[in-house]
Amino acid sequence: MDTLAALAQGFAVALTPAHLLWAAIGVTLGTAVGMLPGIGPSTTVALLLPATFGLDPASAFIMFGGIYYGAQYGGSTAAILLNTPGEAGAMMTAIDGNAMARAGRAGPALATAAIGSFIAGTVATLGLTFLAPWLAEVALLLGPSEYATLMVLALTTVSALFGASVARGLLSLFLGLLLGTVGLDPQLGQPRFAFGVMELLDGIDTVIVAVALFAVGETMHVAARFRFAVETMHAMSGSLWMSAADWARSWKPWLRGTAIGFPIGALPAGGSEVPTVLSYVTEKRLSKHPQEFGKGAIEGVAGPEAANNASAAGALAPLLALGLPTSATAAMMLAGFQQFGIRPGPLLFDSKPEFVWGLIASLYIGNVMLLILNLPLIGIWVHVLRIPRPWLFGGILCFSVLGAYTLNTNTVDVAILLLIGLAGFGMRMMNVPVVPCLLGLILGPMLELQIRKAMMISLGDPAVFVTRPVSLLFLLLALAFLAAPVLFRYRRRRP
Amino acid sequence: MLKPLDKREATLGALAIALGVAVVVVARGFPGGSIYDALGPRLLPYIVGAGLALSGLSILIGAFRRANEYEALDLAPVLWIVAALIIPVTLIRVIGWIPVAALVFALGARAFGSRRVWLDLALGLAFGAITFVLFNYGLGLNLPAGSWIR
Repeated sequence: MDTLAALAQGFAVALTPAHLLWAAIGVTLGTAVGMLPGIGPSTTVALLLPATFGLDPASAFIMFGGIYYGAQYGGSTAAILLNTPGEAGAMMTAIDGNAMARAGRAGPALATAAIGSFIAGTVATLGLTFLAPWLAEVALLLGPSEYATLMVLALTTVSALFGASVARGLLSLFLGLLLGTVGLDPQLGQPRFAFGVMELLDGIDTVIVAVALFAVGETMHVAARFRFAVETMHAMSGSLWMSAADWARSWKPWLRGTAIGFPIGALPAGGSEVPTVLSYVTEKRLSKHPQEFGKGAIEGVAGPEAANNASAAGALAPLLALGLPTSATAAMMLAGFQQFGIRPGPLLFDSKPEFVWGLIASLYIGNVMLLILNLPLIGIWVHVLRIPRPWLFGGILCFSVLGAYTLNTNTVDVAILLLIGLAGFGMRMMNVPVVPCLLGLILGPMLELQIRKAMMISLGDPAVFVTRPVSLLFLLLALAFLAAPVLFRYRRRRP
Repeated sequence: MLKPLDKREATLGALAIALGVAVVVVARGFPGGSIYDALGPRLLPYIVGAGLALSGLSILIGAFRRANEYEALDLAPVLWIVAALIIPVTLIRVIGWIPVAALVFALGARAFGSRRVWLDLALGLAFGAITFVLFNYGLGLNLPAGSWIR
């Protein structure tokens, strides 16, 4: 009952005209960047951080939440009409969604994606409403050694699940951790890896790394492939309405997608890729006509679309309750918390209830706005997809420079943007995932602090991480995630 | 038994190992912490160095096992983007944000095959001017007008 009263208070915060306006701006921006290649919700939040400095935190985060949710909606439109998923979570949608569009059924594909996203988003936000405060209470029981090992577990799973191999994921993770150590040591103030450059003493800003890896690196990668890629836009033909058969085939995948997406989003599995793939595979296995998959099965759109929206809501639970980001966008929102001097985690629900509950309430409202934006108004968005690519990426580069420069008004940051951007391009070229790097960068300093705190409490005995049962459990789980892919490969080789 | 070596993969692995070793070597120069925090500032760099070297080793070994296929890439457009980003690093203080934005936009568009240089420059100029006004007067941030104005 407490939760509902708190939520009601949250609605009172979210329903003020100013906050409604920020939510509307957020969902509109989110839908746009979700559609466009080269820029996603994490980059958008990163680019907006310097600009939101003067805002009150509630407005900024209501907008960020809208961007996160909106991008999940927008990604599907690009996937269906263009076959280029604007967002990682829309990859599976592209398969059958684009096949439906080629067969002249773009309308029902867009409709099942939007309605499924709405249902999943709403149900999962409901889940967030009840899970987050509970998680916050559990989190109060965790000491430094548990926190440290929980972070190790989170970083390991993200590294193991992303990318072509565990080694590449870990390489990316350690690169991020290395970037995180640049600057002053968090406890003793010892300069590390600054090489006498003044600007490096403050550390490398998460915003710059995010923009460099995601926007600049991705722009370079797209440019390098541009000559070889052909994009064809499918017209929005046919009715938007889903037939009775479409509804009958959609509703179960929506619910199953939600059930898969929310918990996996809350776990440190790195955002929406894993749940969408899992949902697609599940739908294919359960379907009475698996032969239609890949050729325009509506279930293949409905399930993954619900899953990616639910995972966005799921990812907010550990972010708010533990301060633990599980996706790139959540990581940038954590950077936002740091900018505003807000400490997410168990105490946030007590110290700033109007902020947390206002944010959660605004997510319900954002979902309604998104349904309207993406169903009756879908025709407007089709024009966004038509922006000529040279101008789109020229604009993305301009925004990247703008974001990097205005952060601290210095050109060293722009130079770092270029260097890490090149690194991001190299990583993409070599199939090294970039998300673990970003999470390593933002969690690295926190992890180091917790490890050293735990060691101080145990009087310098490193055994503290294996003698406390919860820590040991987290470490064993992390080991299992690292070992699992190797074991699977071994078993496959000798049948 | 020896299959064709995947050169790119081997390079990646070797680079990671070298970086890992370098991290540990540099970190050895950091002072230690207190009694109960013996490694202090060296702790995380040591872990990171070891981790980089080990994942690099694993990738290097993999390079001998199988050759991967890589997609065709065209590096010329990437150079245009590099040029686009060197411009603000060197010129933003001198010529100011608005012309820099125009150049970044036009060079970025060129990387994606645009040949309409003047139109691109004009669009970039407009972008620069709008963001200049928005940021400096709306948000109170400080985009440079350029030292040549004074």
